[in-house]
Amino acid sequence: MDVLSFLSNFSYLLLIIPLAIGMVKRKKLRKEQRLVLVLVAITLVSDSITFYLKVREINNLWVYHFFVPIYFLVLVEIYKQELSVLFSGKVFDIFRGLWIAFVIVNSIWFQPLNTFNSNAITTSSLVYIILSLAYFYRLLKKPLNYRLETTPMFWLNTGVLLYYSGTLVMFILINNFLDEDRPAIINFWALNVFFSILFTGFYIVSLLSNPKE
Amino acid sequence: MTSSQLLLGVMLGMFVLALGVVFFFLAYQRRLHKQQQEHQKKEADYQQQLLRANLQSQEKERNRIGKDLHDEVGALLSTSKLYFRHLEQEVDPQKFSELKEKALTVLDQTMTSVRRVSHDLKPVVLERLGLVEAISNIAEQLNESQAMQVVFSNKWEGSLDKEFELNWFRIVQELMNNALKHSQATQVHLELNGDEQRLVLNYHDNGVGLADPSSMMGKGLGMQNITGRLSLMHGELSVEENNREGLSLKLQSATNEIEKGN
Repeated sequence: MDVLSFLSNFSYLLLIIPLAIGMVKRKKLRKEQRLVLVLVAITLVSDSITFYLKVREINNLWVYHFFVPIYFLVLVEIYKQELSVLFSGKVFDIFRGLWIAFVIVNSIWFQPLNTFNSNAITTSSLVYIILSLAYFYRLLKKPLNYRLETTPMFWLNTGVLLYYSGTLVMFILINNFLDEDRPAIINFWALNVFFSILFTGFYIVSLLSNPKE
Repeated sequence: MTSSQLLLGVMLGMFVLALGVVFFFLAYQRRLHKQQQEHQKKEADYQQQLLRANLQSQEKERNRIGKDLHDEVGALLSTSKLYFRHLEQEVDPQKFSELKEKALTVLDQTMTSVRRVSHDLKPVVLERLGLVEAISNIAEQLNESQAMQVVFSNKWEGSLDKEFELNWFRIVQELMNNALKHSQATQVHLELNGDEQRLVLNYHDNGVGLADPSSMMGKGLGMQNITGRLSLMHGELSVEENNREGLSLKLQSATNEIEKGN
């Protein structure tokens, strides 16, 4: 097994680090950090199931049909709280409802459970990118009264922006390469692994942060 | 270049772009933070300056009252004491009556002095008749003294907090004081207007004016007192541009505590 295969298979286990940090600090975590911990737990469970199914040579793409909407609901909940200055909670609730309806329709008619749900992932990635830019905009409009580098949301937001900007194109086009270009898929996944590890790093910093005035 | 290589390039490009956004944001945020700190420092300096002006002004007022009491009331009481010392039964009745009259006159003068000092501390006309009458009173006194001509007009019909009234009265006193001392003006126009929420005083004199009006702010105890009092009432002072000679000022404030926030 080469380094890339090893990282591809086991990089998700790095999520144990933020999970452990979150569990140790659970009583001191702020609300948004608790939700970050939930995101980490969801991702770890989902990646473990997909890895297990992959080892058993069973189609694991259906896992993403459940993981993506759950992750979306939690992450958007974090942004709902952080962006309450810019958008009302109702806007977020309506948008979440519409998107979930779209995902269900997509999974039933357009991209069934045994296919990769790139439509759901692509649209959610776009939403995450917009929300992360909106968060930066909000910070410029109404600066925080504590230092930025000690703000958990800043680190999570940076991780979200970097990861989803980096992988957006891949998720849009991956279905075109699935059956044709095997080396291309490996390269894409290698980059995805790199971005995932980076994102895990941001999870860790976000959970370790203690806002200071 | 194959399409997959191109896409890898696009992915990396997007990542670098996002990284650029983060760095831009950090740099911009830092600049914003620095500006905020500078602004806070300026604000703190200004508050300190106002506080210092306030303390100096209090000290100046105490000195003035002390001087008034010592030089006028003290001297008059000493004189009356001298007269009373000479008032003895053996003194010739005509002389006695003369001394008694003199002692009573000095006591009258003492009472007038005490009344004047206490009036300076708490203006009776302001207490009884309000700000408009009190300003009219200042104008009348100056017109009678012929030091300069003060034309006062009032277009305002609102009501003021008692604390705000006293602040405005002191501001007008300070303006007149400045006009007498520094402006070499022969005529001053004062106009009150505004509404229920805001009180505006337009001031104009035909004096020497200011070479650099912006330099006036923050300079001189009197001006600092005026801006300090206006700031307490969430008001401000601005130098108005005009084609006439002299100085034109616009002073405004809220009319009560509730309106301060507006």
